[in-house]
Amino acid sequence: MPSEGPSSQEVAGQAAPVEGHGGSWAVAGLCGAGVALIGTVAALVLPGRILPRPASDAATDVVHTFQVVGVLAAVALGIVAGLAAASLVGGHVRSGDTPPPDAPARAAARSVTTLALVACAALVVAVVVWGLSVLTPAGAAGGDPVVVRVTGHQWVWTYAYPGTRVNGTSLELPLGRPVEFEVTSVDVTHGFHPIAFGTQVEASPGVVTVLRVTPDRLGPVRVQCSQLCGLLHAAMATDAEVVSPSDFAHWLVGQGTPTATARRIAGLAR
Amino acid sequence: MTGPTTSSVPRPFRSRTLRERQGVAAGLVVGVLTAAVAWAASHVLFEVGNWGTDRVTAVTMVAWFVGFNAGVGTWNPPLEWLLGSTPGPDVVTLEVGVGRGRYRYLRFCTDHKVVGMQYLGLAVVLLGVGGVGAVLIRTQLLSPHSTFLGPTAYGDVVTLHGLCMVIGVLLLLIGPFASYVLPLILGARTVALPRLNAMGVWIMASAAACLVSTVVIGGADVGWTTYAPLADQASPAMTALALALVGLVACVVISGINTVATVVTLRARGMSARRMPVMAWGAFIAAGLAVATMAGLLLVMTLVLADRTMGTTFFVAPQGGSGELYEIAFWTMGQPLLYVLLIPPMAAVLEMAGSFARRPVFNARLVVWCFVAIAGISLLTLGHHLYTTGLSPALSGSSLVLTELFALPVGVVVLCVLGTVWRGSIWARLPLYFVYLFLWDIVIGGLSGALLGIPTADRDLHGGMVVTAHLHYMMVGVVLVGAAGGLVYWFPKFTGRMFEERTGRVGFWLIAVGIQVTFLAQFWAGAQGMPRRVAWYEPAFRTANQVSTVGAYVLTLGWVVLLWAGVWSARHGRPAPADPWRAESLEWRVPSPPPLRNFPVGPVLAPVDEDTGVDGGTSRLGVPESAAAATAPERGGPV
Repeated sequence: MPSEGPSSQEVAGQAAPVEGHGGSWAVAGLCGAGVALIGTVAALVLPGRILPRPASDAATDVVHTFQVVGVLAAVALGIVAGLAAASLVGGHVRSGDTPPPDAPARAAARSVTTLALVACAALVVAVVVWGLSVLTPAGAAGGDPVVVRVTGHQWVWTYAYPGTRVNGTSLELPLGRPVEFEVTSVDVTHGFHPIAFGTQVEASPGVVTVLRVTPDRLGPVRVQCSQLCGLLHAAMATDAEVVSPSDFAHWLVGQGTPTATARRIAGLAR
Repeated sequence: MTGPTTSSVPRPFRSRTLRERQGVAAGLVVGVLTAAVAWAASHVLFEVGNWGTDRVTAVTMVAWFVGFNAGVGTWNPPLEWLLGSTPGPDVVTLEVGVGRGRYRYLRFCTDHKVVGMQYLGLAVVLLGVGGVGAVLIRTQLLSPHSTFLGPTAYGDVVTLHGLCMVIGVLLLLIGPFASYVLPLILGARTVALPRLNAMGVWIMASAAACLVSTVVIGGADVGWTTYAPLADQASPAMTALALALVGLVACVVISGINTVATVVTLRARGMSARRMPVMAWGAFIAAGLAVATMAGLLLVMTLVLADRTMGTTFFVAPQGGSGELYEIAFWTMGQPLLYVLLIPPMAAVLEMAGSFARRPVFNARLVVWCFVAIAGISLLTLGHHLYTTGLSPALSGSSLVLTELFALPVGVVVLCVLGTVWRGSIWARLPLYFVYLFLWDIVIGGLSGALLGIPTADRDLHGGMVVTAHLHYMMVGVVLVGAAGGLVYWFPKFTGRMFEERTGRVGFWLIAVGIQVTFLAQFWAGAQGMPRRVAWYEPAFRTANQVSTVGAYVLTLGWVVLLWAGVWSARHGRPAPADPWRAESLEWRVPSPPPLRNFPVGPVLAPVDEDTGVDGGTSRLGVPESAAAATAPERGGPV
């Protein structure tokens, strides 16, 4: 079919909706509104219930981003599904061996083209504006950060706290204080992803990457390797814990002592 | 698949020339023998262990590649060119497959339609291997700590599944679409570079064997992106895999150049750029994009091979290398590649929408500009694969803007499909079903991509199942669905028989439901925090994974039913007329399947009437349809 213009029977610009050619706006509106409504409700409700409970600002931003893009997607899906469904409703649909009579060719009116471009551009602008608004500047961490040196090994994470004797496989963090993870790897590329913090950085051999986060909820945080790193990639995880500042101070002192080591061995045995 | 063919013309007994003996059988024999000799010789030359094993693997695989293609006859054209000899008419006749019956599908054949079907066969094999991989992966993930595969086999299967699927889909587009249908759409009697085109498929066949052999020789637990330094560390199978990808690059570049050259030089008279069908534009733009970017894959695979066999340290950090180098170089190719895969199915969907809504594609010129925009943006958006690397955080904002910009051209294409079917005369045949499924999937797949394009979201979701769900919505729900619809649409042209739609519809609905269940459940698991490419997971993700696995079984069943319907129809379907869909483009002006040279003489498009703007189109060709039918030989005959 030549790309431009109407078929041989029709002249450009004479496209009037033909009687019986379906495509009713009512069906499109109802169907589209239904899909958009269900999608919007799902987009607003589900992220808060499915995503891990946020333990930092970044993770809260992720939940909101899910909701914003979800609502936009629901509206887009509503428009597409509504128009698509309406195009199928009506007496003009035929399924046998003989095709229905040719539909009138429609030259694209300038207004329709403009509308399509504007609608898609609006979608782009909405996503971009939201994305820029939640983009955190890569500045220095405020306050007095806890520095943790994170090293990825196949297939375990180790954590060292400079200025202390703590260097092992357990990770505890104080509530409300900025943390600066200095992440690297000794073998292949890993991904350092404390899931409930809603952010991650690659652990690349020979490079130190920095991840800044301020934990704002007490409780467990699972650190998972997010970059395929070989045989036991799935098992490369740490169950970290956000604790109160005083507990954290106690823990730092207690780590490396015989009691802590004994506790760890007991834990492994279990 | 191959359609009914007349038996070969009986020939008087005479000894066969070397060239006549060339074919798949000879290729297998020569290839295996050469590989065995090379294997033995390299064992003497290199000490096995460390690099030695990789060198042995590399030498053996290269020998297989050279030997197999020598046996098939792939090297004949370049050798003749080097020796300065011109093939005589007997060679041309032999190579084009005259009188070879259906054996021409197993030979080096310059007929673009045969090459198209050879690619289709190869694609079906690879998609089949990838599909078995998918079923194995989903079965492993039925329970959190499954021992069904074990981590070693699981990792190998993940790699093979990803690569087989990506390459299989690529071959589906290169073969049936670019090699078979495109010249017919253009009104060409052959492709621009038929011998080069034929070389591509056999190079790919040997590379595919190399790829699948990795199951036997150890497997590579690296994922389809084969990130180094992990790839440096993997078993010697990685060497074979890297060589297979080098072969893939050769195949894609060869067929891409042929596609571009065919569109530029062999269009029917009167088919100006403005009157070129959307499908031809889509193939042209995708092929150009592929030729321009595949070098990135050649680069990283060469460096990986050097690291593995020569002791270089491009990706070994303690010796000055860098894994980030791999990531950047890989995605300069990987990101455009995804759009090489996306554009042709989009174009096929538009053609189908036009044919089954009984009107020309709505706003076709805008669609073409959208394809150009998509290709252009794809060259600038590798950044969103690198959000979590820690490289240049200052670029996050511009990467975000560029990535989201995709929504503009892709969205406009979607609206143009809708504009074509809206108030059209809907002819609800099987290919049209795929058009509507495409529309649904591309909204979900596309906007989940918009979510991942936001750095704040990607820094949480990178490496997780949300990425897997997004890319599968695009690859299966959009690309494969669009391509499958196109295959059903052009099926009568390929085989001369109609597709059996009742069984086909069963397959379609299984596929449509299977996609939603499988991949929506993966969004669910990913949102819960499940990483991708893991053999085990936390018990909290169990329900989502079980739903996804059930969906995957339904989806697989759907593809099997559709394939079965295709195979059955190719043998027993109703004979198809030249133009079963009453469509307007040129491929429907030749018999189904088309004779050797497609058109008795090159067709000429009727001019556009300057006063009324009526496009004479193909309904009034320079060659009357009856003449084309009259001069055509028996349906299915090779000449």
